[in-house]
Amino acid sequence: MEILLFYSVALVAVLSGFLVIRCQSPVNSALGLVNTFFCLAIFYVMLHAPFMAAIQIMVYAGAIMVLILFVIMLLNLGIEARKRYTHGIVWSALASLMVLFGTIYFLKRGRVTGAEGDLTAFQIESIGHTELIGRSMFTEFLLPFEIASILLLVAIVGAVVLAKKEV
Amino acid sequence: MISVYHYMSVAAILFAMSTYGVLTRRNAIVIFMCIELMLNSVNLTFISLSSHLQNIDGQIFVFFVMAVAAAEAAVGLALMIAFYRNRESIDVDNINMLKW
Amino acid sequence: MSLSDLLAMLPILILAFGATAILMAGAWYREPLPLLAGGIVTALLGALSAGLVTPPVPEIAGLFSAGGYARFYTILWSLLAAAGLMTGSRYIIEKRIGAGEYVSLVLYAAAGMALLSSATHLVGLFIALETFTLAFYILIASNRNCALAAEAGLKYLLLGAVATGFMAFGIALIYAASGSLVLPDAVMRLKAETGELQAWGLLGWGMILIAVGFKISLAPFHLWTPDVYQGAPAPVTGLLATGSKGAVVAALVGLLAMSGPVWNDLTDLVWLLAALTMLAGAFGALGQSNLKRLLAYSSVTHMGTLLVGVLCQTSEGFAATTFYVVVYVVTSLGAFAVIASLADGRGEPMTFDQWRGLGYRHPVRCGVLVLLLLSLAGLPATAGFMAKFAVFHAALQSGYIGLLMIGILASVISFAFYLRVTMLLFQPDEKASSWHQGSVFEHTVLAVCSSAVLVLGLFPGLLFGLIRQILP
Repeated sequence: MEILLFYSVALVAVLSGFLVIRCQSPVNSALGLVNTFFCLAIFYVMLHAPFMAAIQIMVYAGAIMVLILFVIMLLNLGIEARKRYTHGIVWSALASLMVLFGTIYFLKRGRVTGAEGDLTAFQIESIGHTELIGRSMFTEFLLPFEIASILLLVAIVGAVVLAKKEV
Repeated sequence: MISVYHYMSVAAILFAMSTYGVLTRRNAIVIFMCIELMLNSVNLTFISLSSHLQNIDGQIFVFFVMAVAAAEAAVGLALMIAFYRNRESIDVDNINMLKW
Repeated sequence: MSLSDLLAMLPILILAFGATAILMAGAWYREPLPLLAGGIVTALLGALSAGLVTPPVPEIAGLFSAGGYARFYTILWSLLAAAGLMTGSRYIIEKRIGAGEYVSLVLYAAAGMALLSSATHLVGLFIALETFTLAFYILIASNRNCALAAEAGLKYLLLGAVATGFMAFGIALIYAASGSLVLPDAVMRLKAETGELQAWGLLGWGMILIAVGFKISLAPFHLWTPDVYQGAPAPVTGLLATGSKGAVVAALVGLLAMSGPVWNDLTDLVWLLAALTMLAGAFGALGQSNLKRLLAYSSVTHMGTLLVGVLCQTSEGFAATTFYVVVYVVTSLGAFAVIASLADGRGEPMTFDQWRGLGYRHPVRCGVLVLLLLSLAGLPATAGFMAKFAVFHAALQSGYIGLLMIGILASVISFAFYLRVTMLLFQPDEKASSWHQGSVFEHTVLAVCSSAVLVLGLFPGLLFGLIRQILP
């Protein structure tokens, strides 16, 4: 049953990913992308990571996609009036096929290391996924968390500096 | 039973597809969406690995990838607006005042 | 995070808090000069604290090293930020860029570069890399009225974001094969029992090499370099060409020096990349008629030479690479500072027509430029010669004869175009016009850079002794 769910979600994810890269209108691409985000969120739930699924929906589908759609509408890019909207199909197809086959080939050959940590599904059930993430984030990874705040501050400054009209 | 290899194969397919999109599309916003797709396939890899290795570090990394993606989206879209204000287009084939 | 951790990262804290304070001050107080002076003082304080305060712990929270190598690069990047602010002073004032924003972004970038050079955890490495790259996207396009700058920023952003994707995927694969994100553990665990790299480790390193190739512009990923360097304002280009590349190389060298020879299966690939990069840079520069694009191709060649030093994977190779990074940073920054100091209402002098005969109008600064160009070319008695010599010596000792030959060939070719610029500068030309006289700040940077080039060229042992002590 679970495997059936996996394959159908994977199919939808790949198909909507295909829409993202092939749709002529950016709005359609954006809708395909939202669809992929939802499929990945389902995967995260299946992988016992409900908090990441929630974050995925909120940050990607909620924030980033709204921003992208907003800019598409703002710049009025709805229709790319029937002109050529792609370039360099052949060599980029070759390059990406190389990436695909390289990755799949190595995936077949490689092995994941054995289970290392102590984070079992049972533990996630009993303690709660959010709490586990929070514990790790605010003890072991506190410093990168603070650096991420610098990153976001830089992004805010940048957005203001670049998008505002004149001082 | 679904193994980590299944998830990683899906991630690999998505990653290769988005590479293709980045290389072929001309609209900068669509290229940007392809990059978001790329980062998402990385997130899928990390979360499946984290659950397989029973180690939470992978999910923490996903957190930071999301922060980076959000920051890049904010700056990238602001840059596109700045570019559009000067050029009335965001077609990368028009990014040709500089020769590429 | 204990008090000793905080003390160990004092330089970073000074940079980050100083930047935030200047950003806040800039919101109310829009006079550029005091803000700039504050930024320069902050950067110098950061360098001073990194040099004088001995960190009580060897590692900060298990994420960043506080050893000698990390402190060395913290000093270098803080000084670079100070120099970058000095060269950018006139640009900010004349183009009416928000001084608070500009200064704080440069300081944040310096903090990010310092963190990247000292990262001992893949999470720290990733987030530090992104922090300063993001700051650079904004700095490049900071002049809103310039279409070229916006274009360069967009181009750099799209390629940089793709590189981020590859970097993250590479880290994911290394995590898969080793089960750890802690460096150098993760890298060392990639080896299978037979001593070869595991399949996923190999693929992960390949992806990271692609990302690094984008960031430090190795051929065939170097095509953005000339465009972005041309479009960005010269003070920012100076930082971009030196800091953002140097920090990535520093992180790579630190990682490889800590983890021993892990690249054995990749040597052929890296060999090819290095050879291709040196040749692509040298031949690409031959056809240029714009000084900024020429310097961009020259930086491509230099990155190829740096890669030769990294490839050796011996302590001598790493020492030579570190020396080379310092010399390259000083020289390249100086060259872009000359361009920045000449800029006036017409923009920056870029095409060779604008440079022809300028040696008679601005003899001192053109003399400095010639000195720096000859150092980039590797003329004996300049720092560039010692750096190249050290790298090629290390390559010879590790048995990379073919690469050595290609390197020497590329150096000979690059002599041709550096000499061409030199001759152009001192060609008699009545039509040559005068450019800006330059400010005190800019002349200070030029004096420091040119004297550093001469001192390091005549007494390289000073720096080499220090580098040998601090290498991890």
